[in-house]
Amino acid sequence: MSRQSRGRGVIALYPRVWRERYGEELAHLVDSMARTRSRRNRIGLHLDLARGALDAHLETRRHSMNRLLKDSAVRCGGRYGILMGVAVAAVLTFTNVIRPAGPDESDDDPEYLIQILAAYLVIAALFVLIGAAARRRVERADSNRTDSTGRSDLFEARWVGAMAGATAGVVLALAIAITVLVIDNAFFSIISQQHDKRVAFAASGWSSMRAFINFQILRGVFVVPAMIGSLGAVLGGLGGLLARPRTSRAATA
Amino acid sequence: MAATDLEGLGRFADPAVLILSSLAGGDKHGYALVQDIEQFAEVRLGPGTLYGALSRLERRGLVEALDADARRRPYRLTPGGAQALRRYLEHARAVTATGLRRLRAAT
Repeated sequence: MSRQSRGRGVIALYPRVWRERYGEELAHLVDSMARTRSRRNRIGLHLDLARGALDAHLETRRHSMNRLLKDSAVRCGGRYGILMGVAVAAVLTFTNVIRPAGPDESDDDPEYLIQILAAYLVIAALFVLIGAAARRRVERADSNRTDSTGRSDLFEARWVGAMAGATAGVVLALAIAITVLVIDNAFFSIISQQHDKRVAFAASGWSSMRAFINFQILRGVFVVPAMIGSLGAVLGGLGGLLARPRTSRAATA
Repeated sequence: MAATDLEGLGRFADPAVLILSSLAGGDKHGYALVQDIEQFAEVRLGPGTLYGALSRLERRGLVEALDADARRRPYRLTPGGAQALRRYLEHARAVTATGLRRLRAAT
């Protein structure tokens, strides 16, 4: 393999966006430097390139994440997600700690099942409203020619509702996980009396109920945000669709 | 480092100062930058380090890319880059003067 192709091989490790912008001039620099270096120095040169590629990946991801977090669709969804999270945390604290169910009462009892289903429906409706609110907000900002505040730089208007819903879903899921983690540990003596927890623990084979509960919560952290985020995206997208301006509805009809 | 536009560059902070100092002497492409920096600072920048710093400086508006000449693209110091470099160097000069004065007093 020639010196030049070795340099290009390492440059291929850089992110595509980065290569498109700097790849050609970097390849020229590597070729120029390799011609004047000893074999040992050329190894150092390639190691420096590899480290630069790693930095470029990290920087590109950090930059993308910063842009995403600053986008108005994400911010709007995040704010509503925090409000929902606070409300759900209050409800969870009330129903698990302040007024816990009796030791023989299960979430599967018809009385609780209806309450839980009603709560799910309220949350689903809120995701639709969040999607609609986010789209209206961004459409309003787009129509304001003098002030760009509130515009979404990353998403077309039709995706704003889905993005806001997804963000609200992820934030809500994290708020639920944190709340459950705190109350299950801080009020373990109350929580450990719950019927469903006792049954699940007995069937688990674990020797420590606290460890079992925390394992369940941590396992949920990897699954629940993706699930609620996806649900939020679908329902938020629906809300965004319902909230689109009448003119664009007529155009697509 | 002083509170300047050069904050938050991590391991690219020192190469960034060298690049800005080199461009203060005129527009240069990558290889010319490496050679100039090696000459005035006795530091040999690797290509990954050079372009890691250049990309960050460009994103901050401290340097700007000029039209490419074949496979080489020259870079220019922007007014913001000159101001950032000046602030950094004046701060470094004040720190250096204090350090040297204290060393003289101690010996």
